[in-house]
Amino acid sequence: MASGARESSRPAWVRAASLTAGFGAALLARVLVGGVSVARSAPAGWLFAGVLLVLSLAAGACRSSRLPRAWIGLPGALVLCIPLLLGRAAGDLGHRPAGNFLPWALTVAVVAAAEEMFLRGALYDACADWCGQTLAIIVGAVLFGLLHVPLYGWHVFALDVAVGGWLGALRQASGGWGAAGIAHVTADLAAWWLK
Amino acid sequence: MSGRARGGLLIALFVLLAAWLLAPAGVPLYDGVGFPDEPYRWVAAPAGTGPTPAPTEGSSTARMRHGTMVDGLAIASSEQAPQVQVFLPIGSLTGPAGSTTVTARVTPVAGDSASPGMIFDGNVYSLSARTDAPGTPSAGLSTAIARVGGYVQFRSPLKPGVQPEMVYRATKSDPWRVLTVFRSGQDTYGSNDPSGLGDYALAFGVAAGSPPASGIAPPAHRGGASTGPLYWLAGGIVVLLALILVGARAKGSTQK
Repeated sequence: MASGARESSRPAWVRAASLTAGFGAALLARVLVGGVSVARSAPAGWLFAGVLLVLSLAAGACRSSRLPRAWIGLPGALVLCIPLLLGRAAGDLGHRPAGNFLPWALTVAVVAAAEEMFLRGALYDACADWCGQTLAIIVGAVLFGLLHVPLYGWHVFALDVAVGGWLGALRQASGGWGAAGIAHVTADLAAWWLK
Repeated sequence: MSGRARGGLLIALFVLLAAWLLAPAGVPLYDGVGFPDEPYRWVAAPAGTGPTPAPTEGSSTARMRHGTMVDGLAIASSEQAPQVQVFLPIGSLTGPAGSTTVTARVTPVAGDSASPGMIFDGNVYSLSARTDAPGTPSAGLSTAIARVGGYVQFRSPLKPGVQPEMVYRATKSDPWRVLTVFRSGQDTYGSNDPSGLGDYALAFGVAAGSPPASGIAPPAHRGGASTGPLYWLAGGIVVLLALILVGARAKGSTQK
């Protein structure tokens, strides 16, 4: 029984390590293509999303979206928007971006969904199979924080790890990555009006 | 939903609240691609450029104690993205001992009195500061302190290409002086060398013998490394990893 358990955990370990390495390669590609303004580079974002999607599909993430319970992503998004909503309530009007919403929204939605399919789908499944759901949430949250560092700097790492933890908790509660995907995409798009 | 899942959500929510309280101000959008910029706003648009809305100024107020600023000051104009941003660290602004607050302001002004051969890359911005002491006297800027963590950043109206210089003068009668400048974004340039209250601007043609060709936008330039080999590298890594993953799944299936 013990050797059988080790045999079945070896593929999970390989999956988790391979996915993490692939994530690193995707992030490196995004930074190199995006250059000094990687956060504003749509081509770099699309490349990043494409790599994550390929890795996720190869690992079988699409079978764990659990659409019927994905609705909890909507209240999950509302939680993520709390700081912006409080700012608006306090009278901070911000300013509406001046560009074209649809191309921006499409890029943001694809990038955010690809990140969730990967971090809370493929990688979460591999890590959960290997070492349990709690560590799967933690690993995903840390990688989510790290992916934002080249875009915005180290000062965002702590908050983005916390956001990644919230998205991981949504994944655990819903049983699939769909809820986290809905929360992430919705929160990102809502910032167009709330920021 | 299981009790464990509910517990996980609660814990994650507490961690998130703690991060919001402890994270520094101005944490940007959680993810995604940055917002597209609005067109550059000119005080006096160059020939061939249509009229634009008036550029905005930025201001911020900090506390003072014993004549020294005790907070950092972050100032930004209101355009998307801001055309000017200034950060002055604690202690960099000074005033009369009775001052309790100091207000710093960056105001767009038309470029004038350029040196021969020099062309401004955008508006000139005037940095000023006043305390609340009776008679509203001007504050002073300690450049030694301002250079430790302080910076000035401008958005260029031109497409990324030839890097402009950043110039400074204390008053309109002083000559422009070149500051150290670095590229801080796709179309933004900054300097960690705030040299005093006065006028700042981006400009071309400041160094001897290097006037730009006609002041027209330089050719568009994509930031980052050459992308061809990079796509092949990324693609090769992805294919290799996908094969490993598929193989690992197949191995796991046969064992079951």
